[in-house]
Amino acid sequence: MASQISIAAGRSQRREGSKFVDALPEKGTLELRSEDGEYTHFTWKNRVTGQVEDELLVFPGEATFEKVDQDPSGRTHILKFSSSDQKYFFWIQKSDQQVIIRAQVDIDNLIRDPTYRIGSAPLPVPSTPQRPAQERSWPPTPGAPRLSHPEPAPRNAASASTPSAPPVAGSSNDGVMDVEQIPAQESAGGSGQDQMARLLAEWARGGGIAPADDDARLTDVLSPIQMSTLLTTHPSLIPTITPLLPSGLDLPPNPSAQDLLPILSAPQFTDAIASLDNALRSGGLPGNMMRELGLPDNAGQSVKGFLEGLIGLKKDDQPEGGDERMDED
Amino acid sequence: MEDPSGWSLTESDPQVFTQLLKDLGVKGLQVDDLYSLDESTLSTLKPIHALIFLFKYVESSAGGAEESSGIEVDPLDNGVWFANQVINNSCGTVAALNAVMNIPSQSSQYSEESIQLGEELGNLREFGTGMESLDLGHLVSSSPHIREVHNSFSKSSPFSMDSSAFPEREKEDAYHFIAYLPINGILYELDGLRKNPIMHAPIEGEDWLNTARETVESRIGTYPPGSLMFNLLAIRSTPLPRLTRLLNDPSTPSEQKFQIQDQLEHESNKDKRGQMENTLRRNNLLPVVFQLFKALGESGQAGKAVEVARAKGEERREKRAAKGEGDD
Repeated sequence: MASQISIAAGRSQRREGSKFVDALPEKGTLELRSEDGEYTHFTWKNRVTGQVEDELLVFPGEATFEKVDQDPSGRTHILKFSSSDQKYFFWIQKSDQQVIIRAQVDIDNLIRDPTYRIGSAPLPVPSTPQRPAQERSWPPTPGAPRLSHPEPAPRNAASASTPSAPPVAGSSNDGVMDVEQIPAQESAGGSGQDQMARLLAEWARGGGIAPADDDARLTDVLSPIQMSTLLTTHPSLIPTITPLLPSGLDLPPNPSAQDLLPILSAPQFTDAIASLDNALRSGGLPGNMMRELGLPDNAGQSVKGFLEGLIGLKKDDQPEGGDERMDED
Repeated sequence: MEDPSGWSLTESDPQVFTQLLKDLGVKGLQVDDLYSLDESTLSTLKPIHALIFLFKYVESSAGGAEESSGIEVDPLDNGVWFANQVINNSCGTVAALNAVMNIPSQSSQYSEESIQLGEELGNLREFGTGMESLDLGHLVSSSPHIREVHNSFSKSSPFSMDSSAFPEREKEDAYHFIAYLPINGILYELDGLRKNPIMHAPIEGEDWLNTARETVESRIGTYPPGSLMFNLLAIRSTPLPRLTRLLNDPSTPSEQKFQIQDQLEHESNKDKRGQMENTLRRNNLLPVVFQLFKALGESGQAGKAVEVARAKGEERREKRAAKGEGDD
């Protein structure tokens, strides 16, 4: 008897020459049909045009269908052939994590074994969400997903529709990047899908499968020009900076911005800023270090978090944006 | 400091070498950049006692060009102090030591103008008499003081500097440092990664630099154009005491004094700048960096600064993508 799976899914595309994966917005359906228990017919159909745009024959043991762990939403999956380097990315257009996990398990089992009976394999045992203390994540494992949410993701979101189901492993996989925890939606389809695609695209822009970070480099943010502007518009800063500088620099008693700038723009300073950038990009700094700066703990976990924390330090409460007025403090 | 060898990278900056020699107790010598091997450039820096040639291959394919002209000779038979580089990252210090250990002491009637190895290195040289190059290499790398001085220049950025995280930054560990200098009337090349010193040519005429120029230029010429990045440093007599003395000497003709005054000013500015940079190298600068970032945030200027930096980064990424390189 032929087994069949059908699930709403879009395609994702790997960008040429990079590890980025962009979710494409088109609505589609993944359809799998086992043929006489010998192989699996794997197709992706565009739901709008009804056209079958991808068609693959998968022989047992030839490929796997796995969740891409780097995607915080848990939706992106990869069809990977072991016999060649072919890879196909799909993102499941369902919001219920249970449904997504069920689909992944079934698809993976079916392509490994065309005689597989849909729904017969157990779902993976959800692992206890592992949340090392902030401080213990230092030194971090390079490339390990960083936790941007200190408290566990709410369980009810995923398990609400099936109260008897155990908590879902997928829901613990939050926040590799800055993408918000995806709110659970009642059903697939609707405007939620578009938003999902946008979020995924954003995630991919932020680095996708390659753990990447903000485009901005700290050395460009705190460039010599920027420091010069900062010190000349806020001369009151100078007495707070001066005592932090190493002794033996031969500074006059009440140094001016002109005295400090050659020091602050020396290559050693740029190197120090670059090393901070590097430390943030390669896994982060302890939260208590950030707290001392008045930044949230997660500012220590990526350049992006750090920069956003800085922007949040702005003293008056005016929204950041086109407003270029400087505040007087 | 983060390297498992316990030796950090040496920056190819002349001020670092100058301070390194000073801290090891060497007197009367300093290191300067050499932008050309022209007689006119060299003459402003003379007397020059050794050259440090540092280079890296831009393309690995250029490795085939590694053909040295000279011949390897036994250092002990030829009176050359030569230590092998046995530790990662130590090549800058090893090259500097290979040079200064072979620069003869000079006593001058003006004590500040004498050249002396100093007690520490003098003892090291004495202790190592008759030792094989490999043993000398181990002797150098096991000296806590040398290592401490060597490492003292990389305090400004206490985070581990994984050079692989800076794809377009020069990876300084890919640099190699080689000393060239005359020893007993013969030009030698001392490359700590070679087993032995390389004897090039007898010095003809007054100036060893003429011989060295030919040797270094022909070496540079063996690499295909664009495949080699290099820098030359000169180990020279410290000029400040001499220039100051000449300026104050009533017998110096006044027309020369203007030129001496200029030189003195140039040298003393360079010296000040170098001391400032070395002070920065030897201190943790992060508290200042953090304070500046915090102030930037509080001033409300962070948003704009981040925007500008992101635009720059995006441009950089697009350029890289256009070149077909990966983003990671």
